[in-house]
Amino acid sequence: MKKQNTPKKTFGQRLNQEGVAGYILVLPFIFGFLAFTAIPMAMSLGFSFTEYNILETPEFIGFENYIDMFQDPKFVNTFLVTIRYVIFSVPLRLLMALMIAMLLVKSTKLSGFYRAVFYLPSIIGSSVAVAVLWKKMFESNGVINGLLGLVGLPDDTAWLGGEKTAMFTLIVLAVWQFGSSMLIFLAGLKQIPVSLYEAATVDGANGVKKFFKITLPLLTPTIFFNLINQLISGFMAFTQSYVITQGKPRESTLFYSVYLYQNSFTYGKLGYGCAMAWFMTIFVGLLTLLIFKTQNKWVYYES
Amino acid sequence: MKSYKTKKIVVNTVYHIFTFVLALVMIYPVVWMVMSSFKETEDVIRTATDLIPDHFTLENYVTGWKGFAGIGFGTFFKNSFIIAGVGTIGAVLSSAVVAYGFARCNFKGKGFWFSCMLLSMMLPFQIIMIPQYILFNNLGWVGTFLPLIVPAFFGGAFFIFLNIQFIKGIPMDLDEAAKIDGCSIYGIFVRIILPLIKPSLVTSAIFSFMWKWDDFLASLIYLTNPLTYPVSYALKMFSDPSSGSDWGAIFAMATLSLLPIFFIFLTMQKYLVEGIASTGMKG
Amino acid sequence: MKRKWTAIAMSLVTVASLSLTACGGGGGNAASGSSASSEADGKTTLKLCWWGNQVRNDATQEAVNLYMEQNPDINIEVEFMDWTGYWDKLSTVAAGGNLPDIIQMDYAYLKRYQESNQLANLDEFIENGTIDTSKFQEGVVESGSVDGSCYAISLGIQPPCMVYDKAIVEEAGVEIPEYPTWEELYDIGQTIYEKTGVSTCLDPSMNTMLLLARSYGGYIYDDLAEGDSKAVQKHMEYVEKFSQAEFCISPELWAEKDAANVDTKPIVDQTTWNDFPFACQMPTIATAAGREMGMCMHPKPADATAEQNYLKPSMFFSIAETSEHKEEAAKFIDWFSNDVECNKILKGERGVPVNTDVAEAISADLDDNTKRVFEYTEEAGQMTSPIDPPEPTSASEISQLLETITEGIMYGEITAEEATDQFMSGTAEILQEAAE
Repeated sequence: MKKQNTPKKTFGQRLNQEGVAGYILVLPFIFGFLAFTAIPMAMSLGFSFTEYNILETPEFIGFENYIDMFQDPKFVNTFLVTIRYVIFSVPLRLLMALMIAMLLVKSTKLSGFYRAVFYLPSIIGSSVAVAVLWKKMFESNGVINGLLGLVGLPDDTAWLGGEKTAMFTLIVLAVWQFGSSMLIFLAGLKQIPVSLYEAATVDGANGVKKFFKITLPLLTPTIFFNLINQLISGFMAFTQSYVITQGKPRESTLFYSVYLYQNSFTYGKLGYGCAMAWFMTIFVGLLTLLIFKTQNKWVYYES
Repeated sequence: MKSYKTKKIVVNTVYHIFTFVLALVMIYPVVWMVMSSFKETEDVIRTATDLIPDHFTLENYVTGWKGFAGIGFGTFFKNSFIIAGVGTIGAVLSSAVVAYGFARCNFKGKGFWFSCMLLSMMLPFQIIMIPQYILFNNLGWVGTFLPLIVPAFFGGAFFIFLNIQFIKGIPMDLDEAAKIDGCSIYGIFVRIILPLIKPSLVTSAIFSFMWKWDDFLASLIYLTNPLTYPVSYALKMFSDPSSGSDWGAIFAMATLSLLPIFFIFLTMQKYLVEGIASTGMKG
Repeated sequence: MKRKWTAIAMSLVTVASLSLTACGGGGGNAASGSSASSEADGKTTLKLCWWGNQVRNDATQEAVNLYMEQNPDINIEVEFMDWTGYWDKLSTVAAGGNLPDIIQMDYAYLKRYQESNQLANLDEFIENGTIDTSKFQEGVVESGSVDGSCYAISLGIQPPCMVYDKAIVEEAGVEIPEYPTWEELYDIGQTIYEKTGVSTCLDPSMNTMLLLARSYGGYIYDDLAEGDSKAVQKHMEYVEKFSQAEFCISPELWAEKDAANVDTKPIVDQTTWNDFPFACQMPTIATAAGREMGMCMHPKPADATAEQNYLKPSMFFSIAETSEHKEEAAKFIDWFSNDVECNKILKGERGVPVNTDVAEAISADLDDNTKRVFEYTEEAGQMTSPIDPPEPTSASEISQLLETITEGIMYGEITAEEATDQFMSGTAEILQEAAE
């Protein structure tokens, strides 16, 4: 590596400038984004100003889709349903993930086994098997009611048939599949230098104090990441509603993304679907921006 | 000293009992699924409330493995391994490099490109599916694995973002020290950063493999020959809402399709060890 | 304006792909998984796609193999998918101008694809005898026709019906009439519930309403377009009357059981004793339940003025307008629907064969349940009225609306009258939007 400080920079030195190196390192993303994502994205934005049933050429209609959207009671309903889902499922899932991660960060002979077991529910993902599984568990004569009956609670709830309870089952499913957030928390916890805990122990700090003074602050970048990521995927949640409840009963579990999909493909209104997608993207984007703005108030970075 | 030891044993026992019981509750639905795969196919739905099959049978595995139209699940598994395996290598490597650029270098337009990255996480795939199909069709890639694999080599937004968060957690002192020792920006990445973000690389690899393994929509759109279908997609073909489903085969093959991810998780999670601590540096 | 916009978009895509091709430089053969189409050896390659389950996939592939054996100059590449994925893919592929030559088509999508000029007009092939329709059941060609031209040939037909659990009905000691009215069904349901505790169901979906409209001599989508609410009103009243009765399945259970899926219908686990599938689904229901099922005509209103029954085309096949081998594709469809050997392999899984000779020829080899379906289809076939035209493009949106509104009645949140008003105004809006 050359180190002389001559006025004229060599090629190697140029490459080593932050401004240049940054671009070189990020180049794969920029290229991939422009090639595979940017144009389709721009086209979908374009489609949102058209009437387009996929099979015929799109017809330009200006802002009509966006205007229609706010006069569509179903649009408003699905939006509210999704927000309700996100408000309950995201914090609960993150809390669950953090608690289990704290439990499993301890290295024992069984750690690997435990981690795998707790991660399993997330592995089965959202396949058709999960849909059946979840329906059967929450059926009137299913396992959940059986367990409730054992401890003397009412055991005749038709979970998937009630407007409130159907949403509840979907939230439980989301919380149950906490694995990916847990794994990220686990990785985050592993990154916290052990030396900090050792020093704290010497200073006589107890477990609770260590958690609030060391673990939590140093984990904030991970919490921040999980929060952003879960928010985005929460708003985009699709399969649960589509496969398990089909929006029933009375559209109380009809997610935004499902309605968007129905419009785009089943009803032949891809233009409207794209407008819906962009509305949601802007909404989630602003929400994300807001959380990014609060970042320096609570997220602690080493650098 | 003795009482300390006893206390430790008690604490450990309580820990294991608690964790174990919690694990059992969590895993019940999965156990149910595996058990169902050993039931006779007509019984899967009919006796859904019973965990233990009346008659254990391996028939579902036999009929399921045969697949469709003479194409067995062996082929589907092979395809899944190619798609998920190659895609994961690409995603993990490229995302780490890109994340390093975002986390440690200041360059013009950084904020813009970062926003683009986040934006690409927010748009539902179904919406860009059609323009993307036209694009790959013009490239002549439809009917091959390329549309499923190549984009991964240019970094996945989720993995880039994840790595950025981890790189930001590494003290700058380490970079500075290496710089003084004569390391270039690229050298720092290879010698300092890469070893220290092992937990996030491992996490990325597990996620990438799992998501690619589970994804069926992209395969559905871009693959044209049943010989190239992956497991995730083949699983869907046991069922039809109007003409009936072979639940036994679905559960049997779904159980088999869990195994690779499960084993990859088991082997990979070993590397989820202390990153910084092993270097002996203090933060 | 619109042309210009599309042109810009398309050229953007092309530019992007060209520049990519330039960069990529033909790499990546390693990962290529497609089979090369073998035009070189003088063979014609046809692409055929369908949706279905394992049984259908296996049987269709076997039939295709037989065809390729008999026609060495034809090579058929197949693609099979699941129901939902199939329509996602088909529309995407159509947008890319890549539709396979022979496409399995559904009643609900036929009109949309035809209106968008995606399907080839089959009149020519029917007239010159490439597709021989002389032995077809009456109405089959019409059922695949839009504005007097045929765009799809159905491989099978099936009438609507009511299926009932024989053991439960026997236990209750009731007799199910061959052609019950809704009023009779109400009384039967009451008796069965009193004797056995098993509930009755009424399918509140579009299928039922469509049949009601037919029994008053109308076509539901015409009625809706004209603002004629007679059938709608009647439908909502039946839904209300039944769902208020104690013997009827509760809305919670109805939602939970998911009647849209043939093997989770409430009849399968004896939550109800009856159901309203199309005839060909009976064997699947019987297998799923593991019980013997009886079949009778779909109930009609007591004051019916016309025959509601019809032979619904169960599984259409169309040829893509973009196909370069329409003639060969038509020959295959002809063979598919008229060849006895082929249908012996397919075993009527896509519905009772439209060719009456074929149906008779293969019926000997069938299992008891499927035989019963064939018999029933013949009985019902003797009392039918002409089939309705293919559903309008907004039909799926309308039936979704109906589902939500009838749920409202079942949960006791709205009355039949309110439901009628809501549905009429809702459909008027949807139809108006579609007409624009």
